[in-house]
Amino acid sequence: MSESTPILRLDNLTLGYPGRGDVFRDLSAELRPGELVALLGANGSGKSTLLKALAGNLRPAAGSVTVNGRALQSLNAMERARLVSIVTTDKAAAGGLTVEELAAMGRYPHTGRLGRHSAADRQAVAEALRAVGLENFAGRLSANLSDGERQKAMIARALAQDTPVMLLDEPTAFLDAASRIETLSLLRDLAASRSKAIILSTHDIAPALRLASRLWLVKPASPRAPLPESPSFHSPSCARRKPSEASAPLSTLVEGTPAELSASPGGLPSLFPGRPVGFSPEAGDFLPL
Amino acid sequence: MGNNATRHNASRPATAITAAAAASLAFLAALLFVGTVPIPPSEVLSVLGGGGSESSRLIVMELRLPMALTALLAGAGLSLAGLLLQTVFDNPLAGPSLLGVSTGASLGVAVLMLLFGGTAVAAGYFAALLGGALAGAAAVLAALLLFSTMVRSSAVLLIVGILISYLASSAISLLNFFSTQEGVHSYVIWGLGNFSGVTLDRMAVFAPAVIIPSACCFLLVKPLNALLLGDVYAASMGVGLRATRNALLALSGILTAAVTAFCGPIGFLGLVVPHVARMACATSNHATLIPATLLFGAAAGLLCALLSVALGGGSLIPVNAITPVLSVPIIIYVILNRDRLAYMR
Repeated sequence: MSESTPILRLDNLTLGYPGRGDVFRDLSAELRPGELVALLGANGSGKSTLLKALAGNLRPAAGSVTVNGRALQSLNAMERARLVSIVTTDKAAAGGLTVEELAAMGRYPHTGRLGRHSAADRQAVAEALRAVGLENFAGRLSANLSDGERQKAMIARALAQDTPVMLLDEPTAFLDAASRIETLSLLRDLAASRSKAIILSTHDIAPALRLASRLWLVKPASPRAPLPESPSFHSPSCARRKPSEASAPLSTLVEGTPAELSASPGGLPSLFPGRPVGFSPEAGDFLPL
Repeated sequence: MGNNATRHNASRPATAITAAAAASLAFLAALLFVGTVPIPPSEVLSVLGGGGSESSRLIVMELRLPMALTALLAGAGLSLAGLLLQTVFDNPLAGPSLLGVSTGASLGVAVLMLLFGGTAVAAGYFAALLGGALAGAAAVLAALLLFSTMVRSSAVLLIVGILISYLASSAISLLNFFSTQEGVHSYVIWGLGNFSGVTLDRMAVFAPAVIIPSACCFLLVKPLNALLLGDVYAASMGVGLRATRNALLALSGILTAAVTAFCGPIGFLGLVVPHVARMACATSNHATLIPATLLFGAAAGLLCALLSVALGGGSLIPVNAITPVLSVPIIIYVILNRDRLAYMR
C-alpha cells in the first residue's frame, strides 16, 4: 500500500476566515488509496474547517488541495464531484425517496442532463447498496429507516458517486455503540476493497484507534479561543487574503499511525491540553484524570 | 421488521396520476355542461358534435371551453410554481402567494391597470399586463433570493415573504387611492380571481406562457431531486447551485406571473397541490412529482372553476372565495401530520 502514489495532497495549505486569523498554516499531508484516516480533535479545533477545504468548499488562503493531481479550487462543481464525495450529519429531507433513489443520486456527476441511468449506472448503485448491506432495502422509503440505516444509505450514495476520495463528517454521531463500530468497520473495508482514500472526523477514539490506518490529530497550536462550532461543509466561504503574520495559527495537524501516536507524548496524550482527561494506551481511549 | 410491510408501493404514482387525469377530464367535461346561462345537455352534445344553435355554439365553444382551459392551465401552472419554490427554498409552506410572488405580480399589474387605465381590452393590453406581472414577480423573487443567502431558517424566509407581500399590498393601495374609480373597479374585479377573462385570442398568449415553462421543468428533474438533500450535498454531487436556483426561480416566476396577469392573484393552489401530489404518489421524486403536480393542479383549478359556476346561481363566485375553503383544511392536515408524512422526514 505504501508504494502507491498519494491520491490526496495538502501542500502548504493555509486556511482561515477573514478577520479571524488563520486556523491552519502551511499544512502539508498526503493520503494514499486504501487508507482510512480518522480526524480527531476537540470541538472547535478546526476539523470542520479542514474538511470544508478538502471538499473544495473553502478556498485556501494559500497552498492547495489536490486530488489525483488536480487542484480542487480550479475545478467546477461537476469536476469536483467526480473526485470527492461527502457524507455529513445534516438531516436530509429525503424521506420521500426510496433507498435506491437516494443511492442513485450519487450517479449525478456521471449521468447526462436528464439523469437517465445506463446499465453501468444501475450496476454501480446496486453494488453500492450491497456494499453497505442495504440491498434488501432498495425499495423502502428512507423515512422508514433507522438512523444507522439512513447513514448507510448516505454512504451508499457516496459510494455510487465513485470518487477516489470520500470525506465523512462525524458519520457515527447519533448512532448507538454497535452501529458506530459497524459503520467504521464498513468504511475500513471499503477503503481496502475499493482502494478509496477515506477521511472521517469522529469523537469515537477507541474504535477509531482500532480501525483507522492513520490518524490526523488536530491540536491547538497556542492557547486561544476555539472556533465557534458550526456544521461542516456549510457556507462556501472565501478566505482569500494574505496570511496574517501577526497572530499564530489556531491549530496544527499531527499525523501518524494509531500505534505511533498512542506512544508519542506529542500525539494522542496532548490532544486535549489543560482538560481533565488523560490518554490511556492500555484502554486505547481517554479516561478521567 | 418485515421487508414488504414498509416496502414502497411502486404502482402507487401511476394510480394517482391516472386518477388526477381522470378527474381533470371529468371536471373539464362538466364545465362544458354547466354555466351561467342554462343550456340543455343534449344541446351541448350537439354543439360538441358540430351542430347546435349559433348562440349555444358561441357559449360552449367561446366562453365555457376557454374558461375550462384557463382553469386547467392556471391550476397546473400555479401548482408547479409552488412545487419549485418548495424545493428551492426547502420549505413545505412555500408557495407563490405565501412568499409574496403573486403579490409582486399583482403590483406589476396594478401599476399598469391603475396608472394606465383599465378599459383597454386589446390583446396587446394583456401582453403588457403579463410583462408587468413578470417584472413584479421577478422583483420579489430577487429579494427572496437575496434574503435566503442571509437567513438560514426557512420559517424566517417565509416571514420575509409575507412582509414583502404587505409592502407590495401597501403600494397597490396607494395606487388604488390615486387611481380613477373605473381603474379601481376593474382592478378589484381582477383581484378576486377569475378564470373567465381569457378569450380564445388571449389564449394564444396565456397557453404558451404556462406550457413552455412547465415543459422546461421536466429538464430539471435531476437537480431538483439533488436539492432535496440540501445545498451542501447537492453541490458535492455537482449541482451548480446558483445557476440551478436562478433557473428554477425564473420558471416559477414566469408561471406565477402568467397566471396572475390573466386570472388575478389566485391563492393557495400553489401551496397545497404539491402536498396532495406527494401524499397521493408517496414520493418526493420530481420525475413523478412534476407530472403529478401538473395533473392534480389542473384538476384543482377545474374543480374551483366548476364550483364557482355551479354554486354561483347564474353568476360566477370569485375563485379566491373558493380556493381557501378547499386548501386550508389540507394545509392544516399537512402541518399537524408533518412527523407522520414520509416525505417530510
